Amino acid sequence: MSDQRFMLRSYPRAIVHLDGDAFFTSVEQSIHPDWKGRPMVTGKERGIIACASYEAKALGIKRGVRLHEAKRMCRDLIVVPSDYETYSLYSKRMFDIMRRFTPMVEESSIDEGFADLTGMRRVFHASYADIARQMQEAIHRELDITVSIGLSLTKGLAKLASKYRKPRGFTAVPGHRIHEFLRTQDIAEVWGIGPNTTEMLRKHGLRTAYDFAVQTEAWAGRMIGKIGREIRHELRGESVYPVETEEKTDYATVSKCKTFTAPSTDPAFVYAKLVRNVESAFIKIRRYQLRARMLYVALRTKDFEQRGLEARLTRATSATQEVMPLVREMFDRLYREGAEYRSTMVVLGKLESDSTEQAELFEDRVRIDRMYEASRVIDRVNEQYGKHALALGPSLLLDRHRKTDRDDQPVRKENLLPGETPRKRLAIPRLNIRV
Amino acid sequence: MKLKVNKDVILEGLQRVQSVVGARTTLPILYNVYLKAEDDKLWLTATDLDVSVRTHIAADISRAGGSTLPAKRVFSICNALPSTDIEINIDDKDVATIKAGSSRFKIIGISEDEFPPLPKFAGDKTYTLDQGVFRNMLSNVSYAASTDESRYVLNGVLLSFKEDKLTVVATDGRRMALYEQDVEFPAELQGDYVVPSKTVQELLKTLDSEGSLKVMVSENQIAFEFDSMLIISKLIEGTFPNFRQVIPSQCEERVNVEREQLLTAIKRVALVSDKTTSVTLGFSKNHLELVAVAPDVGEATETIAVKYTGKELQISFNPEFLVDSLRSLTNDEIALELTDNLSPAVLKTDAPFLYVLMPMRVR
Repeated sequence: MSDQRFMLRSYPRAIVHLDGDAFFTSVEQSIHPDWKGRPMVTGKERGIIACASYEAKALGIKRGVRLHEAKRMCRDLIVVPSDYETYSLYSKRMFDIMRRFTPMVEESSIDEGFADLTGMRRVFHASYADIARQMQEAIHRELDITVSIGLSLTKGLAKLASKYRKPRGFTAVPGHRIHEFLRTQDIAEVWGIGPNTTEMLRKHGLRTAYDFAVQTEAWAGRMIGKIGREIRHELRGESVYPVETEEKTDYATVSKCKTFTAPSTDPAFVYAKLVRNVESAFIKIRRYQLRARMLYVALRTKDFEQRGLEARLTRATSATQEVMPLVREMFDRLYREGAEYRSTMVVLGKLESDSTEQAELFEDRVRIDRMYEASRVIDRVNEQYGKHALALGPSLLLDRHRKTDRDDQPVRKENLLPGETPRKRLAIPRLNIRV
Repeated sequence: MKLKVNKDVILEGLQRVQSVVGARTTLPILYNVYLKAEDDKLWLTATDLDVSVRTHIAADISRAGGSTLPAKRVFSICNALPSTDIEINIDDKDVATIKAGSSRFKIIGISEDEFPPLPKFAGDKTYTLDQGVFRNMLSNVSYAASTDESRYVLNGVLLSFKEDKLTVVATDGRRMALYEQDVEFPAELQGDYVVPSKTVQELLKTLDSEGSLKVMVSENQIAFEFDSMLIISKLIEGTFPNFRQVIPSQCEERVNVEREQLLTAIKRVALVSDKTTSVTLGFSKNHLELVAVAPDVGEATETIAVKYTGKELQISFNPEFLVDSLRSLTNDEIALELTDNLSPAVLKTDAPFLYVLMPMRVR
């Protein structure tokens, strides 16, 4: 087999992808040291595993498995409710540590991110690989969680590399080794190639990422379009996607979806949950000075069956109250008596800037101005007293459902420190140890 | 059927009907034009089930009969034929032979029995109008109609026959154009009809500048008969909003502006605006300043000398709305009536026309 080299230099760019190892359970084990080395999972509140520790994974317990099945597989399994507050506090610290090494850090999700190290060798008197290792060590030492690191020339390659060895893996792929590395990578693993594209490429005889990278640019474009050409460049070590340090501020859609702890057949409760999602979505678009022209509402049952309705609004709006009659009507059309619901979802789409507004001839201006004024007041009150402190009436029924052990709260919410409230707590991780 | 026809004559006939031929339809027959030959006339009919258009042209008929042929294809063939005399012969199996000079085409048609029949109008309400006047009215309002399908009743032009007047109105909910004309008709024939935009476009294309026009209305259809043309359209159901209610009864300021000058100035400043930006008209003593600012693009300014002695006033509009109206008018001068930056503005001319325009609010 003749090898085609894609790059002769080692690191014309040095991009790190950092991926937390079983992040949620790692954090739990970090604050509960006695759980270390034991199989444990988070996701008690949903009845489905959100994250499984490596000890649990060894027993075949994976993300997405139902809890009662997992319990059958392991009697001593430790099951805890997700404590997103603590996870995000850890996440924040993790990215802060990354930023000590370079200001170019992209937070792509709560447990993974990219860092651009290009040009940092002189500052640290170390190779890129050594800098990346220092980053990994610092996170382990200071947060007591492990992460896996991929170092290469592009985001696409770095992401493949960080998955290559896990947990606590470290994989560096310099330019002159790319072709060897890509041979080990299944085409399905490549960032941006989904199951359908994988199937299509397999039919053309492609097995590994290397097989894709050696194709011509025109072929990649013909098969997958612009994305295909970009993926090909990324795989060949030519960086297309820069590390984005800016937080995302332009949205095409905003969606809110919340799963309830126990499934419910109570229409008033399910509606209250939906209304809460609608309120959250509108709060978010108002924060970004947007208004929505499309509204999608969906209800999902215990059996993962989803029914939804989409509505185009005759007038784009950022006022929650303006769409409430419509939301009620859509809910009534979707809700089926007796079905057990487990989540509600709302999507606001066709977003546009709310900075200018075309006035309408046949509108009730007074009513609209009043709604806008109400939105302003709601946002101001909630800024001071906490999100949803001032909320629509249906939310009074949010407490109205049977409590189960799924309603167990994370430790930090059950053991408040003096001065903490259910809405506001200290923004530091709290270890669950006696001193 | 068998006939001889002049190339230019049949091309004109086909042109009058072919724009209603379905562009994308599941019914193949709707791609076809219905040809019927009788008494030295060739009748051509096309329909998309919402609008039907029928016309006739002079032809030398040697055998009467009817059939349907693919409209767009027949048009391109006739258009490309080298000679001016065209011979068309359609056999009992609806296969047409088109001959001209050295060219010969065989085209497969569909039986006339499959063509949807035209609705009948008998003893319905009938109005008589002048073609040129009606056409001028439509062309001055039709651009304001909505294209948003969620506001279905606004996707057309309202013909309101009331109190010896015909008022035509179109609006998309943000601006409204209205034109009024005295028309004689019996009091019992008062009525409001919303004609779909597509039909209005057909009328604008085919109405002449003179001659009379007969308008017939049945329960949910409207027909326009003029010269050799018959256009039948369904009416848009639903209640047109109360348009009189949104015409401001008074204004605080009134200013005359040269139409062409204002139009070109707006077009220029609008070059920097994107979809969401507005053009701001700032009035001060004998001075009109137009400003467009787009945060990501830049800004543009134009000044126009006007006779204005009122209060200082700044009001923002969607530039397209202003351009639409200024472009369709032919007057040298227009008048703008204004009150403040949040109230509707009215554009008037010396004709019985007005254009109500809602401003854009800048937050």
